[in-house]
Amino acid sequence: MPPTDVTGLLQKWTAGDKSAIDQVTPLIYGELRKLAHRYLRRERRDHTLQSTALVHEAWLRLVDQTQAKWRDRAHFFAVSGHMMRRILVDHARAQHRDKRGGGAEVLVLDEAIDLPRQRSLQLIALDDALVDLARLDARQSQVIELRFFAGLSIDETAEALGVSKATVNRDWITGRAWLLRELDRRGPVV
Amino acid sequence: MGDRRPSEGLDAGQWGRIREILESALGLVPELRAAYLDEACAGDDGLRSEIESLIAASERSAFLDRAPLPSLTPTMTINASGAGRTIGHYRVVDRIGEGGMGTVYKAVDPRIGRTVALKVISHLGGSGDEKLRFFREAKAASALNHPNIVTIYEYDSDHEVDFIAMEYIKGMTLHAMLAEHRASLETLLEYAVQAGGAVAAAHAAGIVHRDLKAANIMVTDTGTVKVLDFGLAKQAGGDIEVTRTGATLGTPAYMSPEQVKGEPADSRSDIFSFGVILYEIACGRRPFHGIDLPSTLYAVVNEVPLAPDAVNPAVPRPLASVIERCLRKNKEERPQSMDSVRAELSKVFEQLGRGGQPSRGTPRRKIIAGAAFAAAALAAGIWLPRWHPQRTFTWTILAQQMRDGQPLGAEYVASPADTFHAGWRLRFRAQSPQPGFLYLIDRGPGAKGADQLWLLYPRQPALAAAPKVVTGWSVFDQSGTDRLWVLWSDHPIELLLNLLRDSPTGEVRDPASVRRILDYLTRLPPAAATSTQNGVQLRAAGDVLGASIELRHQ
Repeated sequence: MPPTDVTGLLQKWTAGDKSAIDQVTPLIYGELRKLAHRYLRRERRDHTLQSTALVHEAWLRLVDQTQAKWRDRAHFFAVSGHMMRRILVDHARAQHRDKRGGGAEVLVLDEAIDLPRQRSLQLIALDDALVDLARLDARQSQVIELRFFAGLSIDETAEALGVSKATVNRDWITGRAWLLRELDRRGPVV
Repeated sequence: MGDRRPSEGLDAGQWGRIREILESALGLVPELRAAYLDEACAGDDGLRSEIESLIAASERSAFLDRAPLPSLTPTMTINASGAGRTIGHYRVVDRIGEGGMGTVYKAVDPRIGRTVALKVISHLGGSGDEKLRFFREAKAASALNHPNIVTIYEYDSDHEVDFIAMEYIKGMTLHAMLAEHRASLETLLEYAVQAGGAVAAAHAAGIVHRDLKAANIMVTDTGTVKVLDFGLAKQAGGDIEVTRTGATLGTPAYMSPEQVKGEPADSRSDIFSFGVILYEIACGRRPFHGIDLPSTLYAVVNEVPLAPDAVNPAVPRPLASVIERCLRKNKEERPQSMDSVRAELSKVFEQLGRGGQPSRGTPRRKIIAGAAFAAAALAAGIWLPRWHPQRTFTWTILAQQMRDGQPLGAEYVASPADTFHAGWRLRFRAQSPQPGFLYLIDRGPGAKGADQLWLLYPRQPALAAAPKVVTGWSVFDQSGTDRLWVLWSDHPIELLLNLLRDSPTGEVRDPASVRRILDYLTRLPPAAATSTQNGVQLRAAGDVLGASIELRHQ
């Protein structure tokens, strides 16, 4: 995939072409999965992998840096944050299911492939809570997703969602309080 | 967890109102909040307690603030199942696992309609001759035609991809089985006897496994053990590294000291690794487990694990004894043949089965009682950790008022929920029926608000396991809230003891170390806490019991 394709699509999207998002999403998703897989094969057990590091690397690989504008980056990261949430939470859920007695056909399972149990429970709980928060305030849930899963700053989040920084800040502070309390209520998380 | 809908009845409109007040309250310094809430909530107690709980939650945890969140351990497996692909003349049906040496697929040999497990070797280097030798060794083990050794059909390569076709086994690894805590000690011992027989047969034929571990032992649905990957360790890469001198490394937690040191591994190295598996079976945890690779390797070479029957009193002494001997650092001191190990195990197994009288108390009765309890618990749908005996310890805070650096009155037993005055001194008392190691870690506001940790206890690196500990005094001289972790471990925690090497005062400022320790602490499994006369009692099945509390000073 030549980098310019993604760059061009991002710019169309930034310029207001909503259909561009449908074209760019699978490209980003594919790259994130590929990168994650490569990292995971290469790095052994004493390494850790950060989701934001992945998102950054995907950005560098897919997008022509000389052409891209700052706003494109915000849009790119917005998509990536959502994807990383999906990839991580799916993995955590699958793993959790396996622990409960599936997995009879697993022939050789390396010990290193587990998310720490605590982390996978955290991720699942967070994902559930975000779904509930979205029912109360969809944008607030999105703000948390972008800041947490893609590591976006307040400024970048504002740019990606097309709202003011003050709004993002307010959404973040109160949404965070709500989530932390929910996670507390749903079980021992942190 | 799932069926209690949080914030039941809360709708978007109500949340809008709550968040407006919440936002203003969070914008105020804590001292002004109460007055503001008095006014804003105007006597609506429900609203007020809702907001107060939100404020408390938002100040309690930093979970969401470490934005670049989940550090994943490697190998989040995301690739597709590979179904439909062909490797050699095999048609892949599904991907069934990822091991140190590569990916394992379930595949069909269409020529004879046989289902096979196809192991694709990712790191097999070397010339054609070396590869052939590698395969020959694997094949030789398989050719023993032992019922407990997995059969290898063929070795081939397809476009530079080397693979081994072997017997497809429907079952579960011992590793997965141990993680589930479901099988009884007797059952697990029976598997160990079978596995021991397989390894003994291979040794008799001059073949050393070199990477024995729980994940390399499969148990079929009918209870037959199959040992995998004989001889493969020698040349394949992945988890297993081949050093320049040709010595081999296995999987760290199961490696023998001589493997760690890069010396040649013979059959007695397998006996050591087998001892690690036996220890895991008996105690529910591994004998050597550092927090990272270097500390694990260090433990393998230098540390003597707690006796198996000290970790789990239900382990009969003869079993504990054979495990201890397998785990001797010096290979000359280990049992010299796998066959003798197997024989000892089957004797222990028979004694268990006959209700015989292994020394030390009446473990048989304990085991039966345990099994009956387990069965009852399973019937009741309770998830029951198996061999870990419940560990328990009780701790409490002793506090003493101070004025101008002088004690004022007698020390008293405080509740963790108390608020203390800055300058008072505190110490901690911990006791447990099992010996253990106490660790106290404090996280509080350091200079310039930097995140800082203190290891309050121990202050000397080598403190023996004791059933009761009273720490020295600590003075908390700043007002504010500290978070305190109290850990009771059945083994020394290297990560924490290392701190004392770098910082004799126990103070940790280096952000990377702070992060590493917090990461460790947040991963500890939760323990159940109850208040008793002697303090807070914690119970859990793990090897490290931990509690975290807030200590308030004003």
